[in-house]
Amino acid sequence: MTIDEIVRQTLREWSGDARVPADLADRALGRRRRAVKRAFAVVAGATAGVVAVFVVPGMRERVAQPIETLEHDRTVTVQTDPGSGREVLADPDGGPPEKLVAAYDRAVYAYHIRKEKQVAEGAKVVQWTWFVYDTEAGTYKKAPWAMLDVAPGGETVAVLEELPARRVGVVATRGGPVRWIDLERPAAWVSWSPDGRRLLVTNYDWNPLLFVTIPPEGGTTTAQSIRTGFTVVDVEGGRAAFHEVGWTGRSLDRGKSFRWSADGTMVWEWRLDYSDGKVFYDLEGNVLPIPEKERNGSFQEAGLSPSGRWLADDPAALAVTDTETGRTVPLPRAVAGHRIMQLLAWADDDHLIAWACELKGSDCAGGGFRNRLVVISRDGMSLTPLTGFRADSRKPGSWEPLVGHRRPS
Amino acid sequence: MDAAEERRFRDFVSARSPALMRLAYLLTGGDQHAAEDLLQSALARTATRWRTVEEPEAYVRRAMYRQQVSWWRRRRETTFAEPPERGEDDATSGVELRIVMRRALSRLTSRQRSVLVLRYYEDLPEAEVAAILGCSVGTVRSTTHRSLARLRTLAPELREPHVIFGEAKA
Repeated sequence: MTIDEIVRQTLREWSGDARVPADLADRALGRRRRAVKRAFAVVAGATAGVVAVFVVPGMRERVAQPIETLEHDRTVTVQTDPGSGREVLADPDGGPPEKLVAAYDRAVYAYHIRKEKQVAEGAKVVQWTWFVYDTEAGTYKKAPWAMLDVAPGGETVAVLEELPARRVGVVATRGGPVRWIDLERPAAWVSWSPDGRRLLVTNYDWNPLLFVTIPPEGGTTTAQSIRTGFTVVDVEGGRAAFHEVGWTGRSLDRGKSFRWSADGTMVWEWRLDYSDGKVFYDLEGNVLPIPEKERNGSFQEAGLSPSGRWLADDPAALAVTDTETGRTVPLPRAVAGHRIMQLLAWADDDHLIAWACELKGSDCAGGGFRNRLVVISRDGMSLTPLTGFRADSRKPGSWEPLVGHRRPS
Repeated sequence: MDAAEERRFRDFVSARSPALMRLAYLLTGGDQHAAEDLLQSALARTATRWRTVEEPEAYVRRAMYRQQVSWWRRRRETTFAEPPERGEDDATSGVELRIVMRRALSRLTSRQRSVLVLRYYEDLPEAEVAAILGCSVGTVRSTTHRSLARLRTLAPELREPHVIFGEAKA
């Protein structure tokens, strides 16, 4: 039994010790009546409060000072060839983008829009509608696939036609015939290897994006979502080998699918119930000791930089740690009118792609979920917007980028 | 609130208070009085909007999450550094382990415990927990991870949990 199962079981048993007071409704209604009286009292004293703000300025919240940079205002190039160059290509008014978004060694070759569909009483399925960058059209075009990943270089896509799927397809980003490779077990997630020659497919018996609400306790959980393992596909040879690595937890998200290690020799998964937070496997599904540099405790998606020297870190606030010296430098709280919220990917060893909100005083304008993609320098002192803002990244209809490599490693 | 609305409110409280009280009890770390205060406050807030609330239970749950968040943001949290008391007998039984676990959970900070309750008791996806707490998904992951690590420190028996629970169930 793992620690998260023990926690789950303990919480369920412990909650049974709660005693229900007999007069809760009376107390709630009584408290409400008192609250109405208190509200009148607060309004009556409001004038005194306004005066106090001016008399005691030291009590006011300190406002963060944005750091202006040259890069913020610079003109960004727009070009349509995704395979070459390291230029910063932005569509700073586009949300979702219409023109190609790229920075240094990474590019947003695709994005998806999340929608929820009620499929039965108490059950909903999350559907991702994909848009893939078409080099000929010079814009992102809607794709008919349920799940996909774009190969390094941006010219080829691996696709699943439904969730779960019995086969994985490989097709050019501009369309054309699909080459299908049959899978031993159904799958719901696919990822290209860093060299663009193999696919890592995560196998599930059920659609992991199907959620049900379970009465009477309420709450949302995935229904019968059972991950069975992973399949490594040799694309050129058309060979697929399944390896059983089960997981039967209930709440499922991207974290439960497998990812390639940076050098493509191992795969790993997030496991918050393990002390290191990650578990690594060889390509046969055997558990490996966690590489020393990965034993870092960071939960930022960006992880280690391409050379392995720099770590996108989050010890308390967002930071970058030099793994050679162990020195951690926090990112500034404000830069070029933005606050950096999440470190998504390393664009190269000197730059990070991140989510950032727009600062209004010391707060995010429109809340912390109104955010845009930006590229920042490693020290966080310069920032270039890459896309327009998502109105609210929590809500259905919001878009999520797929950040790929501009060329195979 | 007219008489008919008040009756519906009372019926709702009567029907759902056991489940809601269980959640309040966990969020407050097993403190019966604090749990009653938390639920009573959330119900009072619900009563003020009773006419417009479409899903009262979801509203009360969310009110409790948010209230707990605002409480932990307003006060400086204290963690307990001392290890839990150990029994003399090393062969920990299932009952003893559960007691150790509860004690360890109650010694987490309010923020740490709430993240575990939202993830493991309420079964909310990371993105929804992030939305409730007003932080990033990465922060939810790191807080979950650190909370579990803290439990291991507070309850060293958890370091080989499969052995302990295996013996307890036999």
